[in-house]
Amino acid sequence: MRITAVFKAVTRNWLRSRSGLFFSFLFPVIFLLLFGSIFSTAPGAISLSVQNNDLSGGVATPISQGLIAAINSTKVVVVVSPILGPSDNATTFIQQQAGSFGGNPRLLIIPQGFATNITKGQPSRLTYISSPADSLGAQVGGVIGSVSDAFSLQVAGAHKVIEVSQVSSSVRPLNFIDYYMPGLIAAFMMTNGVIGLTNVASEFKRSRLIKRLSATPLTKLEWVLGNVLSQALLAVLLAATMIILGIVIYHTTVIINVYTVATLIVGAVLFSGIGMTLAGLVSDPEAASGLGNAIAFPMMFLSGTFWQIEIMPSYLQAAARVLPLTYFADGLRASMILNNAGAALTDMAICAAFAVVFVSIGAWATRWKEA
Amino acid sequence: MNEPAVAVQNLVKRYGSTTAVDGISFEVQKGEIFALLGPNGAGKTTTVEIIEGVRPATAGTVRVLGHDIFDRDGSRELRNRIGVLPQDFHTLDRLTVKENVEFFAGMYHRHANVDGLLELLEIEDKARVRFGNLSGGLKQRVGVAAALVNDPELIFLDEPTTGLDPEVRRATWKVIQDLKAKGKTIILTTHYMDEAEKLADRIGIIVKGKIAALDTPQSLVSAFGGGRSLVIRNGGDAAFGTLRRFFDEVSMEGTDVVLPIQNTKDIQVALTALVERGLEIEISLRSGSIEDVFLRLSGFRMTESGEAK
Repeated sequence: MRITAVFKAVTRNWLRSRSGLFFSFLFPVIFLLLFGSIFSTAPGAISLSVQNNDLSGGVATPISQGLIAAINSTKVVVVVSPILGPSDNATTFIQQQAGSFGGNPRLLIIPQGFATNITKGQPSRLTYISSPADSLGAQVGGVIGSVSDAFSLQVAGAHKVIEVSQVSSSVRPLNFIDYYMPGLIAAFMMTNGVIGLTNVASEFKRSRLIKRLSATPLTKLEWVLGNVLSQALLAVLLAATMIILGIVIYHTTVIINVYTVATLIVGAVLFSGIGMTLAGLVSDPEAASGLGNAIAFPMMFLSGTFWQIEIMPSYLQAAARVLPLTYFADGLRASMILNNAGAALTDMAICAAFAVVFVSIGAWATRWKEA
Repeated sequence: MNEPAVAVQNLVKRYGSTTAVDGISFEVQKGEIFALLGPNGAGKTTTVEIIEGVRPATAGTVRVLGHDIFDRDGSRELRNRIGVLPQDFHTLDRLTVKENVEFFAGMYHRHANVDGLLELLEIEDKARVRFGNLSGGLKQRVGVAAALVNDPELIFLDEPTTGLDPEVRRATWKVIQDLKAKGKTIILTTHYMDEAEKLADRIGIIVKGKIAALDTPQSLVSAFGGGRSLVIRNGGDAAFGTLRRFFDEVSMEGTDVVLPIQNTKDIQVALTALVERGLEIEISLRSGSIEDVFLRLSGFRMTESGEAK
């Protein structure tokens, strides 16, 4: 009952805050509309060269051809002809492309033994080369990453060679906005929890409301849970709004299933827990708010919400692997884009573990009594 | 004999090398209004917050309504039976008055009727106004409503009228007196002498973390009030200098000159001296007050804002 009372009160209080509504709700929506306007245009014009080194008897293996077909089927990226072979020099090709007017070479290299490794369930590394000056390079990398994830899942999961046509047909045609949607949702749910809730909890502390409540039967854990649940509801509402806008305006084809909803809820609780932790650990409200910003923004850019983390240097990739947002964004992408229940469940479990840790620390760190 | 509502024994609170509360002991009987009177920083709020269970003590024992407040289970049960109005009460700005009181009601399994409570405090017409849009006085009333929402046996009111205009102060006093009439026990902290004197059954004067005196207002005045005084309104330096030639204990309060008197002869001597000096004077007789008690016990006066001077 007390958790419900806290939940109702703080939710109402938040919903009536104009600045809170703007930064937590309208700002992400504006961001989505901006991204949507830029990246929802008809795909097909973005070219990608491929060097296929995976030959068998001088002919490209069916699996490597299937991968190329899968990339083409996205209609976002078009593989240009001719496909390069092992005898072509990739370095020379890139230099030639870069030297042409407006040239932004993008080359995907399929290694020799790719099909053999995939069918054995062993890792096989694709190499994607693009120019740092290429504004579309990272996005194409994202498309390749998502397609290869879905592709390897299909093939490795079957433990035998799958017909190429089947692999191709299993990949849905996607727009860029489809790839961005999970990342945007993840990023803004994170900022709402880490920045938004830190500010709100700090304000309650500054106004001594927490001290007043500590003189009632309300417990610290009930207070934390009421706030976390409130933030979770708001986060799910935000996600729903962004998804609906994406579907209505940009005709996104994201998948909404039980994994998507569960991942959204777990993520909302996780980032609210981080917010409560920061507000609890840092006694000065201004410092807590500043720390929330200092943590949220690097995390947003390091966690692969706007681009694949594989395009970052290895030390930043290592940093990304310990950030909860990485798993939340990956989990959302796995459920909303790739329809990959296994990957979504794994990421969700990692997020849930983070959530338990941070909500517990948040409850422990919240100062319920004065010194 | 009935157990007191509150029993405090040798209470100590230290912050590093600073001692905020220095071995305080007192009891509050059920149904009485007990006032802790002292300047800002004397230790009133710290003492009360320890009794409320929102601040730990360094040493000492505190029993409230039969419970040891340092015992976790007892403290939880106790919080259903107490009401608290903290200094500068604040709650959720964007919730209305009624929503805020309902929020506090939601903390208790049993609570008073919120509409009835708003009527009792004469803020029912503000029920739909957001807390952030209220004046200071009305915010304090919402705080009182929140403190009463669980129909508590023991109510803590920490500086309930600080910053309020005289009319609102008097209205708040009436609410407090009505609560006493209903049998509630009230612990009041204040730096207003008149408030303590008017409302409290007993006053504990607290100076630098210690209780300097504790008794009924009348007994305190009798013991420490210094009897009656002759006050020469706006007498200034001329009146002061004139009287100083005849009396050692004459003093200034602003532009007023105050002369403690032992008998009617003192009055005659003083008035004769002032008239012979040719001063136009306005006089009054003043009985000893809590202010005099405080001055005598602490050695300083308090400003309107509660600072020692």
